[in-house]
Amino acid sequence: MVLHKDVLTVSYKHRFEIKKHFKEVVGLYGIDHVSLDLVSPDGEMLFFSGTPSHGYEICSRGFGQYDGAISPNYYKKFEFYWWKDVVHGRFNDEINYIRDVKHKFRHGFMLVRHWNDFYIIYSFATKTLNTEFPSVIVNHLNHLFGLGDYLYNEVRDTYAEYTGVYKPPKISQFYPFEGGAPQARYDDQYELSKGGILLKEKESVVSSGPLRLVVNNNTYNA
Amino acid sequence: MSKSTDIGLRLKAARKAAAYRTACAFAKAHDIPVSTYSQHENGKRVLNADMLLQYSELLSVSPGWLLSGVGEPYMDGVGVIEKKDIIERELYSLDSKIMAQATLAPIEDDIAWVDMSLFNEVLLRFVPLLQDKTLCFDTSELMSFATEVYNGVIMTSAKQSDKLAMIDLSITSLKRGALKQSNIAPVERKSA
Repeated sequence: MVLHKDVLTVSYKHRFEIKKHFKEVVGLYGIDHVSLDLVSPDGEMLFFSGTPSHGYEICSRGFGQYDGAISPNYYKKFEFYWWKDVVHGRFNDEINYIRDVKHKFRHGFMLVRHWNDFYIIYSFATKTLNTEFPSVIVNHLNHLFGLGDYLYNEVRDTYAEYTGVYKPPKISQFYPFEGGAPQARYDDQYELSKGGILLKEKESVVSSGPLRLVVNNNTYNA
Repeated sequence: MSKSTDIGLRLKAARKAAAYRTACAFAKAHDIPVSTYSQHENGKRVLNADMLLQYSELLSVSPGWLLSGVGEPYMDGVGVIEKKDIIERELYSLDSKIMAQATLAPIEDDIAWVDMSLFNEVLLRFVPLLQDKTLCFDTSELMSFATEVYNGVIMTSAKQSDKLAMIDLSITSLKRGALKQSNIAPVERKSA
């Protein structure tokens, strides 16, 4: 995972749009923070965050690549995980300080979708000291997944401005929480042609972007 | 947080960066009364100019940085990057109670210290929007967003110029959103 070159500014650049959509979720179940942490197939991560200072502080100080909460070691392996259960590569105190002290996030968690080789991560957090918060969340995971899907689809077109040759998928079907690693899903734009070449867009045979060969479910870069 | 406490925190960070694990070890190594030095570190005793210069020299830090926190703690030299790293980590891992007091914080229901200079910059940019008839927001909506814009910036450690840039980006997003709602294409201004 690498951070997109615009990772520090994109949440400010789309502040109004983010606020407009996210306000429908902020407040539910005591949630104070919502962020869409989006990873394109080439491993570039971008945040659309309702608390832009959170991502800014972690990334501007060089802690982003060590932050366990956004590490592929977790989002590739777990559909749901708590911030407190991750291990940071370095700067443990600093990252926790930014979350716990500076932003007063008491509990945070991630929900992960895996569509068309994108990892779509819904990050939530609360400032509440309510000890019941974790059990409330666990009991409403599917609702939260659905809310995350909705928010992602709302910002998908904006996200597409930052993904180059990769077209962000539309989450066209709801899948309930299953546990374990996020299952790979595909929309109808992601299909194999007869020759085994993976197309980035349905209509395009000659793509301007890199092609990947998928044979027997193994992927090979051209 | 008092100025003495600020200086004390930087003194402690510099002491650790110089590889003195404890205040006692540093004080004894330089024939300084332990109680005196400890009180300087925890801010209970005001540091006079002579002691400030003495500590700066013993710890090889800039007296200006030790006094005000502005600028770099060290001039270039061997091991400076590692020492700066230690100082940054030390200052970040401070007692949360100290840092939570009288610290710039988002405007919420609780009382918070407000950076009036920064908030003024936000308001200066929002006031013209109130007079812009092409935007279809009411005053309360705009002011609510102004507070959000301030809150999104105040918690960062960015330079002032970067904070202003973030504010400008946020306001541009507001204008873009307003134009979308009214289905008017934005007019590009040609540069002179």
